[in-house]
Amino acid sequence: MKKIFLAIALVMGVYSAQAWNWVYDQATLLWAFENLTPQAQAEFKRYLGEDVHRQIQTFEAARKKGQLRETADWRTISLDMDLKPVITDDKNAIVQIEKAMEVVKNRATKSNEEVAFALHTIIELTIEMHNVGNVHLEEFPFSKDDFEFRQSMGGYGKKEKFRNRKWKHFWSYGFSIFHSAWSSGMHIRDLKVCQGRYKEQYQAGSLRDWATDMGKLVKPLYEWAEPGCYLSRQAHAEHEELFLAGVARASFRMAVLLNEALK
Amino acid sequence: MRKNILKITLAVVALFATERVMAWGGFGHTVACYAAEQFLTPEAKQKCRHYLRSTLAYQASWMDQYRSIEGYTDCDKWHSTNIDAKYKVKVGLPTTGAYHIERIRKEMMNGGYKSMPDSLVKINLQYLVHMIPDHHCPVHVRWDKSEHPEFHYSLKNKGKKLSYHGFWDGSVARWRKGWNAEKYFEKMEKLSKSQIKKVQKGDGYKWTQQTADVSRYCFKLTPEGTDISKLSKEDRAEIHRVVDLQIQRAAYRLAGVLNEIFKE
Repeated sequence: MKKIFLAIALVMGVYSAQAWNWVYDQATLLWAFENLTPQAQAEFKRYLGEDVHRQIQTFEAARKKGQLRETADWRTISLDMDLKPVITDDKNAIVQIEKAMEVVKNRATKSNEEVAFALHTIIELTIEMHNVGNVHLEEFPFSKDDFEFRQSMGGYGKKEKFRNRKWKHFWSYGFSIFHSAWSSGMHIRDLKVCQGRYKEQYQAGSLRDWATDMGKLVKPLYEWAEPGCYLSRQAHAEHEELFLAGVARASFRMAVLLNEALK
Repeated sequence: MRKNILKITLAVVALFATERVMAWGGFGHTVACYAAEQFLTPEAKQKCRHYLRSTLAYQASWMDQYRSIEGYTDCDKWHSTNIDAKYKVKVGLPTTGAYHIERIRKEMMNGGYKSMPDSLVKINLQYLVHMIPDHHCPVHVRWDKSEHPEFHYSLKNKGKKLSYHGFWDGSVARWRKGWNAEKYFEKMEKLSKSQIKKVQKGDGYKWTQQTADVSRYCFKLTPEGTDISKLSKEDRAEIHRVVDLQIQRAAYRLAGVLNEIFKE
């Protein structure tokens, strides 16, 4: 019996720990790579190899092997009542990305392994900080928690069906179910159509401004979302826009960070 | 102890599987729309993207997501069309999809879309990109039970009951683990200009009639009591041949309708 519970816990743990699903993460990185300068692309490949699409979820893979466990604490960003980043220690995405940027900028004095690790930090944490479930708002203390909510599975009135769901898992996997059979290339093409025009707007500002921007994006959610809340089928479908806005922001901003670091 | 294990297993399976049940399967709808987009004229593609703010594939299952949402439930019946006792499509019924394919098509053609608000053009496109592929799915023609009791039965999978509808809905993706729409399109047989013209001929009703004929053939392919886990390699290949042909028809026809609507 214990083995079964452990197996379930492992499966749930693995699922809840990833940023988005593999294909969305891959699309985010590949689209960012398209937006790198030729020089940055060459430097990227010099340290991480030719297989650009494989350079995602590397911390996650290490954590599964019991390595780099500390990286699990780096994925979130916290914002105060004015939506300014709260930095009290290095257990947050902003500080870790800033540290990684310095390592990559000073790569002439660093080992290849250190630079590769720093590049993976930039890639993974840029994705993580744009995942709605990783944005914590002081105004809504429960935004830190992986709370349960009721999701409508269709029907209405007496025929409506529900299931209980975890908030963070929903923001990682809740939308990929609409798009089975999608490749990362298809996601990129679609993101270009629906989000491409916002490139300049998303890339403006600094890393800390982007954290505030994510706070502004996420804040209206918590007007209704709280432990035990109800998510209608329509709201589920409509929130995909917000999810995609996070993916596009992550991709455009990752390109800015990598271009700057790999100058 | 065993009961507990069963309950836990069922709960885990349900957690990961509940949302994946959709008509033609999400996979079938995605590949049909992805393929259709490759067959659009540049102007139709540009217009579709302008109104939808997305690719066609992104909208592929929109009608499935919204079918049970209050305000959209009238469209719940538009995913399929009734067939009469003599195996013919029922024409002119507003509770059928074929009726609305034709209605929307006629309203939007000859520049008709230009006099519609953008939001109406968008929703009409969302209906078409779903209904046209749906009406090529062999189980999206409705056989009335009183007129055709012979078409109402279940299949088996490893000895356990399996819904006939569910089997054929998911048949494009079945036995194709790891495939995505790009791979499917790469392997899809592409038609010549004259073949395309031939396939695109007709209208929503004629295409649905063809699907009804295909549907009758499918009942022969998987008669009552068929255990799909015991299907031969040849049977599986034949099932794929039939559904791939239907997806191909759906893709070319959807593209044809959209090209026609947005023809300058």
